[in-house]
Amino acid sequence: MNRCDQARRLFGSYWDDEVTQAEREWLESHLAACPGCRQQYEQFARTLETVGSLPRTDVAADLAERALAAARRATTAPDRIAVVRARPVWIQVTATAALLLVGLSALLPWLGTPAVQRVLAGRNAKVAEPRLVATASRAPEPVRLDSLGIDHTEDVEFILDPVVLHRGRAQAPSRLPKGVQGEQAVISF
Amino acid sequence: MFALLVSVALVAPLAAAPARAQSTLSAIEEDVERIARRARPCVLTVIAQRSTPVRPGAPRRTANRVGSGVAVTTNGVLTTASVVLGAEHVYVVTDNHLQVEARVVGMDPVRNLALLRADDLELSSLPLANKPGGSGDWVIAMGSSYRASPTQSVGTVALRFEEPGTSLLQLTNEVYPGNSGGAALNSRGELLGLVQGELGAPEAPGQRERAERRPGGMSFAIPIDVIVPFLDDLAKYQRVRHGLFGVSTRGAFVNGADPSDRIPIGALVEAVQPGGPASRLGLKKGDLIVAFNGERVEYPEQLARWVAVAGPGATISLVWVRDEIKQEGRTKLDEAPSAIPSWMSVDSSSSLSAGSGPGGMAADAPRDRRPSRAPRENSQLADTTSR
Repeated sequence: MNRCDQARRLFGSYWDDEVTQAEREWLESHLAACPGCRQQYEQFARTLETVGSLPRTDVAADLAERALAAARRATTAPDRIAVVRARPVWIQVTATAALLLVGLSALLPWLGTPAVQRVLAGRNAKVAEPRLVATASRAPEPVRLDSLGIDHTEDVEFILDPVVLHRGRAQAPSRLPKGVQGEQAVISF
Repeated sequence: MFALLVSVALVAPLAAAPARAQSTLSAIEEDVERIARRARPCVLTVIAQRSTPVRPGAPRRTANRVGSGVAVTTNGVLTTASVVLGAEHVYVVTDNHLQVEARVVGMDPVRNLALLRADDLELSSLPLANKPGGSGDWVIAMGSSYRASPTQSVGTVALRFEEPGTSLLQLTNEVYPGNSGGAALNSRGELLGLVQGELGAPEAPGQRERAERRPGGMSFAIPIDVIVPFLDDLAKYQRVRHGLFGVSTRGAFVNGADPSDRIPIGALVEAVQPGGPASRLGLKKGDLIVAFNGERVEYPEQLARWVAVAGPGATISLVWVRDEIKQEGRTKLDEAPSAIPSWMSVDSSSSLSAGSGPGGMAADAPRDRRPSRAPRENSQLADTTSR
């Protein structure tokens, strides 16, 4: 910090006569030597004298409050995330660990119930692949599935039953042979 | 202190959540993938084989019907009756390409269900949902299609069709040829239903089905609450039990404003079996049955199906009209002699053409009379001709 800066910091205290003897002597010697600081101090002193000579007026009682409120509105809100981040990490870690521990101990009796075990087993269970078992019966006669799939002749039919909607009911359609009149048929049950 | 503990217990998992930076969409995809991966070994391809009827001079040919199946026990596979009806040999193929022969343990063409047993396989089974699916539930449909390749689609239950003793789920899932008998899973990976088929165009009786498949987007599944009684019957009685009312009926119609518009009004009694439930109730030839358990009867097939699924011993209420006077009564049903009702059309031509198999729900026009058949005569069914 250079001497001029040091001197300018003392202007307020010097004006109010709140400096030590050493500070006073040092500042006065500096002002005598430095024309820049001298000019600055004269401006400072003139401003305060002018303000001090102004007539005093009474202000509204809530002026200070309103001024402060306006000031608060004008300034941007502090970044709360930054504030949180500024906290020591160990608090978070410890708090999370404690939460987990307490949560787990609360869940423990529930974890033992069969329903939960079934759900957990169902989620993680690896379903066994189908496998052949040794039986006394003869080896099954293989059907050439490839030929079934590729050969879409009339000898291979892939089943998907048709259902019709009729009078609010879902029904498998009837397929009477030609010439059979429906109302002539008699059924027994 | 307790409140503090609770709040801490609630907050603790939340603190860990932001660590998994994942979008909702990819989380859903991951969940679907997890459910599908778990279910895939339980979804099988079912191949039903039979020889076509021998015509003089023509070589004997093997016809194959390919559908899907779902493992519900270590060697029990659930599929639709439409896939295996009339088959001489049934094979199941697993996702890891194992193929073994299976036998039909039980078949219920009325509910359109069949249970197979593959003794040579050890399978992982799918858990059954313990509550029925309702409108809005998410559904993952899984099955097998051409070349036994796996198919999968995500949708929801659009609505539930309720009938006395049975129901059907309408799904928004896409399904594909070969998906009959496939799995409809809920969001917990449990079996919510068995895929039956898709919406088909209403076609005139006797007309051949169109070759090209229409774009889908509306499919149907047999819900778990219809499947469970079928499995229970097989476990308890080793057979499928249907109700018997002891009556022969024909359709009854009145003409609408347009002479071609024939409005079905019920089931007209043609004959009553002596000593049967209908005879105990006092039904006579000429009575018109109009309601069953509070539900209006339009076609005899509806009544026949509801009687069958109500089961032996069930108490039913009936409303009929005699000489323009309404009559009401309650009675207990007998047991039908066969698991395949005589009124179901199972002739050789239709049992091997898509859609003519037994649907889970009603046929809306009557079929002609068929002789009664025992359940063990499945292979003979194939050779029965009806024209």
